[in-house]
Amino acid sequence: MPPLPLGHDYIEGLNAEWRTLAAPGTSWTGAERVALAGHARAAREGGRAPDDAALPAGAAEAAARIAAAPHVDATWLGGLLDAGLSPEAYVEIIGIVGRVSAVDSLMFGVGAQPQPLPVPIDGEPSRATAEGASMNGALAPTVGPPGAPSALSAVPAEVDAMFALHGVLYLSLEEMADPTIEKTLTRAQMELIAARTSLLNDCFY
Amino acid sequence: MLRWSVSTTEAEVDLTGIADPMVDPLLPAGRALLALTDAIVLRDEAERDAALDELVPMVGTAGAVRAAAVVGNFEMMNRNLDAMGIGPSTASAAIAPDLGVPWPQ
Repeated sequence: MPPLPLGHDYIEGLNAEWRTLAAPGTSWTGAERVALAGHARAAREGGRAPDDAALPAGAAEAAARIAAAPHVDATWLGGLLDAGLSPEAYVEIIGIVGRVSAVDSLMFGVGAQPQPLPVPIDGEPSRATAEGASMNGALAPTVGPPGAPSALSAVPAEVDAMFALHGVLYLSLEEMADPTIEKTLTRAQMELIAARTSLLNDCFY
Repeated sequence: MLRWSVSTTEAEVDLTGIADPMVDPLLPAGRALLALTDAIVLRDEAERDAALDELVPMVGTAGAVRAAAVVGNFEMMNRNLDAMGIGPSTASAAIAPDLGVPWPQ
């Protein structure tokens, strides 16, 4: 079967995500972000991990672990933090890995090959972390109680990127308030898929 | 979210179909949607092709693409939550009996 064609909105959304991935982030350069995505993809999809980027200790391990076996604990994360990874840098890795996993899952699901990772864009990380982020019961800081919308809230740019892709693949925040919304599938059909995906991933949130 | 949606739209659903492949979830194309979901999460090419062959005539090409996109979205959200160590919410725990799955404590 040939790959199912992606509509204009998907193509625009995926291109935007790839531009975000390639650009300097909050703690990581564009080259580091693309390298982290490569480690995540290799761990989840197979193939060689990139060896051409000098990532700090623990960063590649974190990307691979989150991609392939994201149930982590404080002991494991503590080891990475002790090795010099900052909590905000860890949160940014989560954001990168999550979105690459989303894009790769879509491409696999429509029978297409993974999109080649983007060419990094030069520049320096912004260091723009959230004021008021603190330990609220999760493994890393959040702004307010930890939950799906606030999981990455210590790094605002990652929240923005997550919601941008969320709106393309599933529903925007505004659309989520409508239980009757249809986007080629009914809301109930989409939620059935969501529940099954989470069950298979042992994610009970 | 699923229970909220079906209660609002008066759609019929059997939530145990989420966890038990022998149970029809009752939603239109429900079994085929679950088959594609499984194939994507487990990265099974043969099962994906079979699921798409079954699903596309039911929901159209755009519907099948949407199904794959929703799987992708929750692959992302699951990783965000698990890598942050964010566990089950009270609301989620409340529907555990409906799903028929053991709930982490």
